[in-house]
Amino acid sequence: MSESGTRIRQKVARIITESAEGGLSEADLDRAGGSLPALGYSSLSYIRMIDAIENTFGIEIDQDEEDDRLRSVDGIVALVAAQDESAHV
Amino acid sequence: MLIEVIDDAARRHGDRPAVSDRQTTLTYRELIRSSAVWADTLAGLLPGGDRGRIGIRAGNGVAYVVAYLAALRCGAVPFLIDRVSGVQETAAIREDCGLDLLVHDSPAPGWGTPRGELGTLTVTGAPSAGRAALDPQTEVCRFTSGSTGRPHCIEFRGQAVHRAAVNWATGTGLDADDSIACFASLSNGLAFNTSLLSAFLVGARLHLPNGLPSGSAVGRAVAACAATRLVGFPALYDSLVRRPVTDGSFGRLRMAISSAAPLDPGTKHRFVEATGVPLRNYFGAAEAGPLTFATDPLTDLGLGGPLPGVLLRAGTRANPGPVEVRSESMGTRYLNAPGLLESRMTDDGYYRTGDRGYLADGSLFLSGRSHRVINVGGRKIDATEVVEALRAAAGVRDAVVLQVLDRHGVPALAAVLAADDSLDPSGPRRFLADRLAPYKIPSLVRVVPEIPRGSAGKPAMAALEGLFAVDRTDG
Repeated sequence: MSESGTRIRQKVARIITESAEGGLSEADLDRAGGSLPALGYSSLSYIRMIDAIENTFGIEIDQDEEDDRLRSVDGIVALVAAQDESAHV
Repeated sequence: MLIEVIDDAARRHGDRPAVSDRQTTLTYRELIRSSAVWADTLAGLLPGGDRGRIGIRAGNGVAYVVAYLAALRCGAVPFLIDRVSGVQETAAIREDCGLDLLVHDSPAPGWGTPRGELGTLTVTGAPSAGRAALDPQTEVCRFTSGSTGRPHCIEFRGQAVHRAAVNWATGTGLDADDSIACFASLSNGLAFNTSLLSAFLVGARLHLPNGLPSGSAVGRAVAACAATRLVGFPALYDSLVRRPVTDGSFGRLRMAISSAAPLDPGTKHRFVEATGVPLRNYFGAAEAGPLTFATDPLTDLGLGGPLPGVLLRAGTRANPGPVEVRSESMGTRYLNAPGLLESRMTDDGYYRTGDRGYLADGSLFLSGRSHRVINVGGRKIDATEVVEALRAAAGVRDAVVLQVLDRHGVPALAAVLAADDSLDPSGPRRFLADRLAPYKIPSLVRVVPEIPRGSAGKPAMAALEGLFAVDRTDG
């Protein structure tokens, strides 16, 4: 993974854990294979997470278009990377 | 009578936009025509005999509204089920209420065999036997969280639903120029009473975005329908103020309505400052409809005065008392809990809301609840229901469910489980996932060898709350 890819993943993982109500660690994320539904990630956590991703990376997330990618760390990283790339084309 | 009322409104507003979502917009004329087609389909699927019962469990959208009107039009009674009800909860409702058909957008086992389709919605059904009779005048059924571990099905007469809509429209100045962006589920009183029939009566437009109300999604929806009114739960407003509102998408907005769940005063202040739009708390009761409205929320710091057709009783500022209401939009009874709603009525016909409060300068102020209720993000949760489900999970000897503040200072649902310390809390949470709606699954869990209790045997709530104190500082 590229340096910027690694940086995005670290930021995304931190945002996901910090957006939860509490008690969720990055180790928990790893154990769940990066799947947010498997962790029972709440809708309130999702809203906080979307806000933080948008504010941190300066992007806008269309939930209808990105529903699948929003379910996992890998998907969110890909989503951010894709928007980041298109912003720099 | 409801379908006649809606048809009459449609005749007056024919070519105006009635309802929209991201993909579709229907005028009043098209809405009526579409609902007539689906009504024929539903009529062909109903078994005959007494009035048909059709559950609707779907996300907000044009299809939801068309299905609702179609159910009314074919003479059946629509039962509006929360879309996030768990798979087993929904199956229990289907059986409990003797539903003939279930119209939904997410098939699951136990919901009957597929019988047909309404656009993107699926219709399933199964024979029901020995069901309780509906009140002859019941036209719509909705659900409340209940207090005995199962949702109570409230029967509403058409007249009550109609008066709720008329009184809300009149009391809040809703008119044909309004466009409502509604993010609350149509099965919930906040949306049902502020946005559905009331919009159609006056010829307004109802826009129904689906999905989570993140600030960016709300901004897009408000801009898409040039909204004059915004309806949603506190999380929507919390999200909106986390991002700058600078793109002019709120230009036409003149009213924002949140549920009566505690809204962070900081959120309210920032929202008003950013948009210039007053933010009002909706106060209603599932059993009694919409109750109050603050005409000027900048000077009225309470929940406002009673809407037309509503009588309120409460205590005084010095001596708050039970809040009791009498309205034209009262439910008749609980279909699946005979006598219970009646027992909550006073001899002179007032409903005991369970709130405590007082009236001052014509406005209602709440000071608490008569009994402990968990309210997370605007959703009321019956702790008993969650505790019973947790106690059935493998390895759990006992459980207490409570509301605590999470690391963000926001109310969250928490559980303390008595179990061996080897228990992985994710196990009981997964167990609950199939049985209960996601918002009823505790997001914070602690495992202890034994539930701490006081001398009377009651859980020591202060000690239990203390177990979660770390979550407010670890972020």
